[in-house]
Amino acid sequence: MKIAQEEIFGPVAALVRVKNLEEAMATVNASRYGNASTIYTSSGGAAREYRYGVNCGNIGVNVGIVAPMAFFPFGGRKESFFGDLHGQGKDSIQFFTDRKVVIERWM
Amino acid sequence: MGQTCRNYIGGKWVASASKEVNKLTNPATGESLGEVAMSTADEVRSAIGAAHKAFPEWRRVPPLTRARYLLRLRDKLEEEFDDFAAVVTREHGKAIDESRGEVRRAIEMLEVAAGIPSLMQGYNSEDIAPGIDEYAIWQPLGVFACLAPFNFPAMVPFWFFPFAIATGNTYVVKPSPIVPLTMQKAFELIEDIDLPPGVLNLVNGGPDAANVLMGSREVIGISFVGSSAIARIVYKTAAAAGQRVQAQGGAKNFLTVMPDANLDKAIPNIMTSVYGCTGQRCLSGSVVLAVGDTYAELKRRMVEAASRLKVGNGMDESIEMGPLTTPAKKKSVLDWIAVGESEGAKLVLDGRKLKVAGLPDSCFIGPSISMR
Repeated sequence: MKIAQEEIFGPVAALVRVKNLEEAMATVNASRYGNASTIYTSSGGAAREYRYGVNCGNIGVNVGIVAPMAFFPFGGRKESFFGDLHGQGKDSIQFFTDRKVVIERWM
Repeated sequence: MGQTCRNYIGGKWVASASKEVNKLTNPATGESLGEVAMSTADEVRSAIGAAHKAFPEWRRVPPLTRARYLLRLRDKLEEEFDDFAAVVTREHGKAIDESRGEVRRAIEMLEVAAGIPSLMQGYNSEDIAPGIDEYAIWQPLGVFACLAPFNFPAMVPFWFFPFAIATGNTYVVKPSPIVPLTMQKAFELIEDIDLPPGVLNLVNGGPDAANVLMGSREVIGISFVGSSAIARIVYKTAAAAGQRVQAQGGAKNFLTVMPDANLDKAIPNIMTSVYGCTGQRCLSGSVVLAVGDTYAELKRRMVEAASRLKVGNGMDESIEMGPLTTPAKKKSVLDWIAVGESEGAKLVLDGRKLKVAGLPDSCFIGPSISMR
């Protein structure tokens, strides 16, 4: 269903039933977007599996808005981001600079 | 009444000569807030020119001195914190506490970018051959620009320009023409920190202004935040002009709720994720995946919690959700709900019926939940 796949950008939640964690992760990874995703659980193992396998730039474990602090990079994957260096953090310093390499011998 | 937005170029406020203007409206009250002109190509070029001219001197300013300008701006933002947040809510609609959160983020960017003396230190290897050393130094490149979105009028420009000018570059900010008043306010504060003219510039405008920035040989890189469709165009256009690009697009964020989740804590968290900023943020949760036998309980509790959210004018401290930012954005959400219904989705909570007492309903829609 489109309403569960397309960006709506409004106060609308789609509630979808899935069988297990595997199906949940497959559903997330089938999306053309890859910005953020969250798992609510009290199992460290499930959280680890989710964090490892979900193809998004930002993962929340019992945290619903995964907004990175200024000293971490912020950016998504797939159609949520075009480019390579993300905003904020060290990525930002690299985006705004170029490394000049010098080889030096004094004779 | 209302404000006429100006550009800030080379350290001076300048009115645009353009006849093409956007009217600005408070989405909660319908009150007119003023207007913004879509700057001409020449006006955008003059901002790029001012930044280009300022670069050779600015890159020679020691990083620690550059950092002090950022810290001064941080202090200004702290002094004007509440007024600044109020500008965001008035033009965007989000709840005042959400605007405060956004301004807090802007301040954090300045604080982190102020670490620039350490952040841009290079590295070296001694004796790569006898008596020969090799090292890398990090250098600024010139003029950078951002094309900012409507959903975070304060925070998003601050994702970029503090780091850009801290590293010794100069900058052009182009805010969204839907919400340009926040950057007017920000640049009033920037004016007070006595940056050398041309280091930070502001031009208002839409796609035409963006195209001038993306086509300019003097602009080294573009930072964009918006929809995926436009992000893809920005990426192609700017890359074709030889510019560096970071283009953040749209999202569809999934929240997975396991059977062992603590729902007492998860439900309020899900509410904030889905309905915070009226769902107008790229990190909003928008699909809730109920795993196994959690479905019935989750549905009951989500409907209960979402129907209790207080919707209204974001300036009212008790309001938890403001309006969408424009009537067109409301129409787009309504259209998506109609698409969902035509596909067989059922609304178990229907925000379309919402009426906010005493306010026009042109931008309001209540919390909604659809299910198959």
